[in-house]
Amino acid sequence: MRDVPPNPSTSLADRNLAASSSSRRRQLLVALAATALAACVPLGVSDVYAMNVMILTLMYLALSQSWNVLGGYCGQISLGHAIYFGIGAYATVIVYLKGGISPWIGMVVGGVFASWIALALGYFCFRLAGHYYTIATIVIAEAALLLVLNWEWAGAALGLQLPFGPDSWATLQFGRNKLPYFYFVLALSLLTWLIAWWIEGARWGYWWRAVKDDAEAAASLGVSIFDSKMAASAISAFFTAVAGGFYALFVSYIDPQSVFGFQISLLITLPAVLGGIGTLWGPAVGAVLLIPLGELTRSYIGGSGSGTHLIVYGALIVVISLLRPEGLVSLFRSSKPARGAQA
Amino acid sequence: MTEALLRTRSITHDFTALRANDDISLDVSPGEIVGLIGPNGAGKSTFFNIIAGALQPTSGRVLFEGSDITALAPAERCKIGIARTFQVVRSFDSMDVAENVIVGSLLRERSSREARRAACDVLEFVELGSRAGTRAGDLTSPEKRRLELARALATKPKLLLLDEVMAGLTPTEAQRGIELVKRIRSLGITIIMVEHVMEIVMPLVDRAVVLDLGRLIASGAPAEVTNDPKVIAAYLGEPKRA
Repeated sequence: MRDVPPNPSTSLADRNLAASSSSRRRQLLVALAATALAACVPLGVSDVYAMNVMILTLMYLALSQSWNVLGGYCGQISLGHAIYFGIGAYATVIVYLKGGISPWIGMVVGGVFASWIALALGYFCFRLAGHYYTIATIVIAEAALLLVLNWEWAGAALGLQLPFGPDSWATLQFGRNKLPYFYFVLALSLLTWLIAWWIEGARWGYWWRAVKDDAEAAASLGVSIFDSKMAASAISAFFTAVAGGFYALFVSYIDPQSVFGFQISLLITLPAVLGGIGTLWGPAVGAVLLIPLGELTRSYIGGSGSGTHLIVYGALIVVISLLRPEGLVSLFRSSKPARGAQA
Repeated sequence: MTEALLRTRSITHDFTALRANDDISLDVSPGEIVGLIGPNGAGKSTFFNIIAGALQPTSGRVLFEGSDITALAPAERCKIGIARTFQVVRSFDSMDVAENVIVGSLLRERSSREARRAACDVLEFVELGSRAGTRAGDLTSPEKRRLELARALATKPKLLLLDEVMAGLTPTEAQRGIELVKRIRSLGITIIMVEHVMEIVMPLVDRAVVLDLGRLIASGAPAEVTNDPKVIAAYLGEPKRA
């Protein structure tokens, strides 16, 4: 006798509120459980290569989720997120090398700086509609790559090398044991997921999705289209840069091509596209599938930079867009999603 | 006489080779339902969009509660109490019905929780409560029109602009629509509606305003206006040429 029939006297508002908050709570529990589960995985894995792949997977998960904030929820498709990734990587390393400042602070500095850049670029680019915006992001990221390539003080084309130091959480330097990196990036992934989760239930989240679906209708309801895009862009850039800072510490050597290159922009975008744009779980599903697959094909068939892994990516995207244009997560809700009131 | 809620002063709008609105001045009193009618190409939509802020007039002014809002963007107009619907329905299809309305109610509510509560109340008002959890894209087209109304109402407007909300409805649905518009008016909301179908507008509105070839040719009680020779001529052509 546990299933009490719904009380007809409760109002629609009460039922709808209850349904939406229980659905959100469920999502949160799943995310926490998934994180706890992921935290246990390294206990059974000692292989360094496997550990590297897992760390990269989680990093791209965090990156793609950050991208999703702007691209998925606000509908502004950026193919130039490498600029924020690169800014984060360079800021973290430069602040540490030239200023002797903790990389923890460096990552935040990089994040804040990337947000400013995002706002400055947004000020001009958000006047462009749809595809023009996307093209502008590609061009600007390429321009940034060229600038850094010629920036002598920051190592120009040679890049920057972090000095080897003792293993320490203070400097986030770990020579052989990669486990701390795993936990750091796992926490970062959870954080970006929580940001997306928070956005879904927040004022900005409703506004952003309205802007994505129909900007003119959103404006007619009092939503500021420009402010929405700017806010989404700044948040997205911040976390992309933090992940860029993490990457620099993880590999301890960066050069312009490896952090500002177009392939980074693509790898940031693809997991969300593959998994499902504008969904909570799309970037996670996409990254867990795509990144290990890319690493495996690169090491087993790709070899000498022939780019076989890119062919695999391409083929996957084609197949997904033909069979599941809404992304892989749509497989899990073939019927109607369990949101709102079922009255 | 009470102060007019909305005034337009000598609104003129030129498209490249066409004067779509020619010197239109109109006062709308609080609580009124005004029907904006006229044959195809009369300039109704242009005038409607100028009031909503989607178009800037070539010359002339729009005043709301006494202040000049001619240069105000649509989002700003919504904040001061002017809401609209669209001729072609524009639902937010990635969201469910309740969420669509929340986008509107957030304008006046402090938290998204309060906004959801307010949105549900509006949905019940437009008789769409049972569809709160449905994806907006899955609604039928009369339901989508109700959703647009709910969204606009959720912003708590003083003036509601309805752009052919009855278009494409069956007679039964249109009847429900008429009842709904009456209930909206009873909330004290002033309404300007553009409508094609005369049988729907005439019994509903307090005043019919007729545009023809960009000019305001008649304004008055529906019965008066339908007997006006200028209006008959506009719809049917000049008697001498008939």
